[in-house]
Amino acid sequence: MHIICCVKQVPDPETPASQFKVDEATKKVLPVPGIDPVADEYAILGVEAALRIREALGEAKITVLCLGPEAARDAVKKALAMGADEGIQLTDGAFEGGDSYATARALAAAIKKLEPFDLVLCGRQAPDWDVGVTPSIIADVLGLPCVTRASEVKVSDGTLQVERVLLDGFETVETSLPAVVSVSNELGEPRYPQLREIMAAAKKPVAVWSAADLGVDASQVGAAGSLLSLDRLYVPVHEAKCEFIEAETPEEAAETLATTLREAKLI
Amino acid sequence: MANESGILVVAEVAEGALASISAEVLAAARRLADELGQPVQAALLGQGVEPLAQELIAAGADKVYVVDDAALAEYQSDAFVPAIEKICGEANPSVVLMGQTDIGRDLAPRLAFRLETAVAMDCMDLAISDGRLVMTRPCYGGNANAQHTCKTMPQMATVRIKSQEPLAPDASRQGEVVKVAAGIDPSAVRTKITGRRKEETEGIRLEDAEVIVGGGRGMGSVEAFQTLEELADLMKGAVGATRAACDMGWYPIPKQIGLTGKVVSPALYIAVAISGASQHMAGLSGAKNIVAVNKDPEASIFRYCRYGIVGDWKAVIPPFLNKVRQLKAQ
Amino acid sequence: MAPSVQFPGNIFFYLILVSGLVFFAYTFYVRVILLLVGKPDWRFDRLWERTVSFVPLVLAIWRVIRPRYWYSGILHLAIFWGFLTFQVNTINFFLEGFHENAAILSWAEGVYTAYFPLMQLFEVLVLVGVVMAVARRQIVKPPRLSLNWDAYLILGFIALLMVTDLFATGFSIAIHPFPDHGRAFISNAIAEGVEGTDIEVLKAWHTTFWYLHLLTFMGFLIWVPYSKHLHVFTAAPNVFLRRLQPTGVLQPIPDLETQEVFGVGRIQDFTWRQLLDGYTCTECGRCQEACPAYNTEKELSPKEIAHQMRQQLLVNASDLLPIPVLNINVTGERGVPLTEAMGFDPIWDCLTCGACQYECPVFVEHIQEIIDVRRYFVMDEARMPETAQATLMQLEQRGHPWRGTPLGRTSWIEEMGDVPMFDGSQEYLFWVGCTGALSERNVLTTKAIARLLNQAGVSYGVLGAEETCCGDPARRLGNEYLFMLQAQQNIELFNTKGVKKIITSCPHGFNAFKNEYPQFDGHFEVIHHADLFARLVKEGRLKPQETLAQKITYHDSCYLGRHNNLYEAPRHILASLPGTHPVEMPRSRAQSFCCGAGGGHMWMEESKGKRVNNERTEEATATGAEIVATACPLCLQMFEDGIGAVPEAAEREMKVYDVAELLDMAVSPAPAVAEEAKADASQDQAAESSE
Repeated sequence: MHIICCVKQVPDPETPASQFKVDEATKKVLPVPGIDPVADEYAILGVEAALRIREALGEAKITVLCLGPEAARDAVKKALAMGADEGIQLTDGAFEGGDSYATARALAAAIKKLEPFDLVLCGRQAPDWDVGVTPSIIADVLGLPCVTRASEVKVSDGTLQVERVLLDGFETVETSLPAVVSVSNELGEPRYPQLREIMAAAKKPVAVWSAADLGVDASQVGAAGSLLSLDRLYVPVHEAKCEFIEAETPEEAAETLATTLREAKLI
Repeated sequence: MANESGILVVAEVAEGALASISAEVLAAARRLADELGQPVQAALLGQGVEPLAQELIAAGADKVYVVDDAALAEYQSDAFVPAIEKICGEANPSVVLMGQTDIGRDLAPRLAFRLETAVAMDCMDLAISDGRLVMTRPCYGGNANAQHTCKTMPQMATVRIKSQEPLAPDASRQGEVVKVAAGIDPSAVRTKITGRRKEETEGIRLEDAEVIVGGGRGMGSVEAFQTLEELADLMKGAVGATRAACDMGWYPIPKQIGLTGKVVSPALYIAVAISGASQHMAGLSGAKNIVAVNKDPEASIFRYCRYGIVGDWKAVIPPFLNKVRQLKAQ
Repeated sequence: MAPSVQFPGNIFFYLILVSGLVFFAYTFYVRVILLLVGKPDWRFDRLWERTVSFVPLVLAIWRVIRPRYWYSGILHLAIFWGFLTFQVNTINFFLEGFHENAAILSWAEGVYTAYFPLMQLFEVLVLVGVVMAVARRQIVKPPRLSLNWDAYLILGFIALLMVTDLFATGFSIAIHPFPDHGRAFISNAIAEGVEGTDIEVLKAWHTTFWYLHLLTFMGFLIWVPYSKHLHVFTAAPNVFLRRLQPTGVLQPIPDLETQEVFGVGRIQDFTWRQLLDGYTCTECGRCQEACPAYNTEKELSPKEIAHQMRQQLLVNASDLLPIPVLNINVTGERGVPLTEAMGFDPIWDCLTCGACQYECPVFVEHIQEIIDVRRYFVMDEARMPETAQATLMQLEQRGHPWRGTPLGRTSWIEEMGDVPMFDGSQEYLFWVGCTGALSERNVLTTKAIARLLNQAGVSYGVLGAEETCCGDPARRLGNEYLFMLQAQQNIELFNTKGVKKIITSCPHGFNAFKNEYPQFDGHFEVIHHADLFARLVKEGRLKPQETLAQKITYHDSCYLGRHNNLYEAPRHILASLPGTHPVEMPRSRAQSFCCGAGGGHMWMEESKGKRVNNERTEEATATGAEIVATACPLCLQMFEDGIGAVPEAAEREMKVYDVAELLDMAVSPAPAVAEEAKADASQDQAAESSE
């Protein structure tokens, strides 16, 4: 069994809103001093899902794939520390500035190069652009079935069983392998790596592939290969118009609030 | 294909009826189509759905393409994608829209791939500029907004639930209903749905509730949410939670409001011990009035609020509940 | 005079002596080589200091006789000194057993009889001590004690030793009075009581008591190593070989990368000196009585930790040693993983406050032992409470424990303006700390500190966005590896920046920089703001003028007080405030009760029992104080919470401030007023991070 996990390094989604700034001219999010990028937690849950499959089957090779600059190595290291076997980083100027389509094409090319494989696991949506289409595109480029937003991923007798999250419940889906699955936070918590694994991760191989290594045309990936153009990026303004209920005691404030809401016919 | 014209809305059917998102998306489509001088088309897929075509027309569609096929009884992307692709082949729309729903999230990217175009997901706002569709969507967990245009045709977007006001149904509107043969190859459907469980919800659904009491990380326990339930019951409302609270196991996952949960539009949202992270606020874009109780005067929830109380919820909510009970009794 | 030098008398003596000694030697040997299965631990530094402190700590059993425990203090003094005095008699006894002419009484009669009155007095005192001990166990039954038959057996042995000696000597006098026999005043009275009895009967009685004494002695010697009263042998070395550093220090793991096991997962992963703690613990339970976790219905009892060390060592002895081991009076289960014996919850309940270690009369080092097991849970098994895991992940990813904070490290600087950045030209680095920078409530303290530093003209700078975690939470949560990385990173940063002196506002950072960074070759002069400000007030560089409140009670932070001996400076500051009348809580200074935030618990869920901070807030409320003063950002947070949750405190609108805030208000009242209003709201409510 060979599982490929796509991970990503993103600006910390928990960056305080007060610190979050964009440069409207370059349409880029400005890095915040002292707040480092982090691994996309959904993608890390994909690694967790892969490890759980390996534990259930007793055997599986897990390859981590990460498109991003050299600094994105941390996300790969994190996955390796959790127990993945090897890492591949797609680093090339040509990959930069791509939308979900361009990114998916590059990842699909790398996955193709890693054949044979049985399962591709991704996060449901990266918390930078919040799009969530990359897994589907990868599946379509590779001609594979795709199941999105999984809360549980199991493999038995060569078929894949996925429980997926719906807005008001769960659905179980079966499909053949190989397939692409995107994982949601309902899967649970990612494991905390044992120190032994963290130290072993330092010795695991991480290959770096360029666009040329993948045999993809630079016009197909990165900004050049994007289908959506980003015309503007800005921070929306929320007007502070909150009326604070001031009172001597919490009880009084609570009662004033109730009366106010009643008067406004809200309750 | 050139000379694309028309705005195609992929309608959604839930349990035999049109899902409310369909009318919302149609309203947006109507507005854009009128500006472009193009018709609004709707794609209606499912089994036994043909009677619903008239409702789509009443909600703003000019032309409804119906694919009525047993293979479409349940949503499966492998069946739906070729069916809609076929409709697009006939309709040749310039814009394809659908809702950011369970189906839309899954279907839109796959359809876009087939149509060799791109989709902007989860748009809050759609506008026309120089004849092109300008799509505005939140990103970075709601901290930023991005405006996109599509380099390819058709231009595609999914629309955030409750972000568009549906038109009042007009039964007198006239439109054309076109039946399209699906010709779905069952062997092309590679996935099989083996089970479905709906999370049992007693009382009012979050999506329909006029009053929602939301609890966040500051609640601290499962028991704490019982107080909120008591309050919600009293106001005939529902209880929702932030992802942090759901991840902690204090409240069921389907009650999660936010970017990766539900989008709600109550008349009143009472945010209890919720700091107001943008990811949570993403689910509240439709809320008309927000009231917050939070210990931290600097909490960003107050930036969205009409009324706020700075204080510990444990000290505020119980007397609030009593007062509401008293007011209700009058 | 021995009963008989003729056959078979001496044969019995030798038989009993040799068999007893052999048995004892075997047991003792097993105990000693069992210690050696532990890891190395160098405890022979500063020998002079150890030797000098031996007098009060061992000979005067200083820690046993603390006023709070006066009863056990008295009985211990009686028994301990009595026993010491009695040993001369024991030597005489055995010499006499070899040959009556060998007895000291034979060849140094004058000296020996001069010693009699004292010895006989102590024999009585020992008996009084024994009676007191039995009375305590029978009548008072303090919950801290483990009431079992072992204790009575030992007390019985001790009493019997005294009684048999008194009678043997008494009959000896009756048979053959030696010069000045009146000096043995008790035995002499016995002799007078049996005066006129047939000599053969007297001899028979003498022989009986003499052999009974011998048997009691040998029985005692044999039994003690099997009993929890092994402390009679091990307490002295355990105290002598105690760690001389402040109790807040945790030890690094040498060559962490090459360890086979990370932390302590098996009994042999403890050091020999830690294992000695297991032998030495008498289960007096003073640790338990002081433990904030135990006192709020958590599962931890520090006594149980030491008890389990001993049980696990002995019960698994046969697996650890190449020789067969006889196990008597061992309750543990063989082959159970150490982590299970210690228990997951107890290990995680510890707040590392050090109350146990302060109370322990024999210097058992609970904290290190508990953290060693935690290290195993975290680093080896990756098994920990959910909230501990979330905190560690947060520390790794973001370099601070305040998940979801709406603030950045520089937010307070941007708000305040005139804060110099450290560039190597200033005297002090002001280390703000994660809580001081990222928690809304604590930012008020940070600003007060900066204002006071400005006011007093102290040359300082801050690191702003370059600051990261000091490492204390990671270390206390058992991730030694992460702590090591953080410490090394900070030391490098300090050295690059030319930092020599550091002001900290958080006692946890203070402890880490001052006591723990030297383990990684980081040597800096560290001062806590309370200490610095107390000095500046004394020097007249800060002049408190404003009257604030009448009653202020100061809460000692564990890491400032007990762990680092800083009790007076914050009290000086409070005393300097005009019109204040400081009141003390019943548990203060070294006996302070933890706020509940130590050991990483600031960020962990506390779901069992009573909340530690509520317990402490109630205590503070009971003093009638209007203000609780602290000198620790975590204590401040815990009191903010506690005041909200303790009805009486909330009704009275009790307030909690850092001593720096109070001083700031008194020194420069104008800017402080605006801040005070904001201070009413606390900010523990960690903001929603991702929704």
